[in-house]
Amino acid sequence: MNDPQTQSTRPEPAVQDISPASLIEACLFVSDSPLTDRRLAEVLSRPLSEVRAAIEELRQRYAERSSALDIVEIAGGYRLATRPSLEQILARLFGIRRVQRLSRAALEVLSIMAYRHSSGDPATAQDVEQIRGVDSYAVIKGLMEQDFIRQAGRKEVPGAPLLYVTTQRFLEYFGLKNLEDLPDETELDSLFKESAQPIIESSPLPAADPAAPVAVAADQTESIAAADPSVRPPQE
Amino acid sequence: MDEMRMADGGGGAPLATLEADPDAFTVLLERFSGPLDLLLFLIKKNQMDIRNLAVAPITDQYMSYMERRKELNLDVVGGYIAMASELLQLKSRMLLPVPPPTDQPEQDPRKSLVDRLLLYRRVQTAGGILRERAAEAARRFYPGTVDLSAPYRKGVILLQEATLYTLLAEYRIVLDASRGRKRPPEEIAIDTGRVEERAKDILNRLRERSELVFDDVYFVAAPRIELLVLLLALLELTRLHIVHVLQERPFSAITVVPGERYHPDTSPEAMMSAEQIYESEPESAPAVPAPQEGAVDERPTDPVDPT
Repeated sequence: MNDPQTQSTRPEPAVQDISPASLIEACLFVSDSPLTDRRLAEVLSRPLSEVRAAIEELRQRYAERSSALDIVEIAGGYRLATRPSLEQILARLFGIRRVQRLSRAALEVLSIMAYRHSSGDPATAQDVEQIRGVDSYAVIKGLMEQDFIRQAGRKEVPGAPLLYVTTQRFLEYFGLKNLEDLPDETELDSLFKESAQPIIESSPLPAADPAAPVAVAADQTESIAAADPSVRPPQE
Repeated sequence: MDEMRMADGGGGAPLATLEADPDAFTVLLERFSGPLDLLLFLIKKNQMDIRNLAVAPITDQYMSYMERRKELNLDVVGGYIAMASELLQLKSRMLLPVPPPTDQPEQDPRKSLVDRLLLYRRVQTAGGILRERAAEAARRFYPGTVDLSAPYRKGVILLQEATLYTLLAEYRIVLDASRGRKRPPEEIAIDTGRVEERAKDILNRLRERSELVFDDVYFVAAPRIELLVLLLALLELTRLHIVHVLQERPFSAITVVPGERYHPDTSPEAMMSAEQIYESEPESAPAVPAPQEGAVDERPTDPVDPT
């Protein structure tokens, strides 16, 4: 198969001379959302197996060349993406100052909804509250506004509570192929044992003087509250 | 030890224990994402097994956290109180003498709570994984997605010029930043900043520096109403052509520079008054008894060198 890359100085190559891998590259290059292999097969009028092979070829090509680009599977499709190692350079290009991070409460609500969604039993707000032991309405509302979750009908129980499922944006934000791309329950439990995740990270502030009177605690409250809750370095 | 605490009747003794722990004061109720989070923390701190947790000491420590809590939002505190009553009930059940074994296997009264804790811990672990995945995913860039609607990055402005919308977006960022600092208001200021006052501040700052970066203009810790007034002041000054709001290239900082109606030697009030817009040399104008100009000249309250 001719490599069209070597023809860059020659006249415009005819479409039939461009390899399927390069055609897919073009599709991914212009697309601002993930493309499924089915969609690519449809667009290129090629069998699915050929499209998948071509995607693999493209990926190989990028790897061999140490290309800055890569093909990632995300949110049910394929996307052209820059390599993670280029993050800092590109952030400079775009003048990105900060990345917003989700709160722990938000992450908990999202996990509950994602797992329930993937098991075909979407969660209601009451389910979330029951599992977390705390009212989660505000968090759910925020996640709705940010398009991480959406309402998906009502549960057929008294009161007909709304059901929530995760969105495409949820998958994209977390770089997930699909909802099955999360560890299952047993994996979660074993992960817990291995990493012994701190249940609460200790505060980045200097620890209070142990001899200090109780009144110090009141002062500390404010400084802790002032610290950005999203910037909690994983310690221990 | 545990017996002693119970004998003391809850609050006092565990508090003393916590006092001896330097970490105790840095971990306040507000830092937990819920009552179960607090319980898991206490269990871990006491190096207990969730499945065999000692209800009495955990309950006492839980209650002492409750006592030392600051104001929590009512919705949130309800969950903590519900858990407190559940724990107290459980504690009293654990203290009751065990009835003679019957045919039916006695169910551990802690089972329901333990199940919830195990499930919740799983949720937390999953949340931790999601956080890692998000951090990893945010390191990649995709075609055509770096803009305000980008799924993974906010606070990015892609517009070519500083428009009202870029300003508003900046305003939102500052607002978010100020919201992150949830310092409870120590005093409630009423009508702190009028638009004119803020415009004066901006002009005074401009006089010192000749160019202001948008972030400088904004005081991040200011109350929201002040931020809003400041934004309005900036828009007003722009409308009067006293300042220009510029953005040299996409994503660069928004800067505020003097506009064509800006006169460094004129007091801010004079610049902002409609009459002055048509007067090219306001400072050389003598004190004319005309009411408007007189009013303008008598009010150079800011410490500006008139020459």
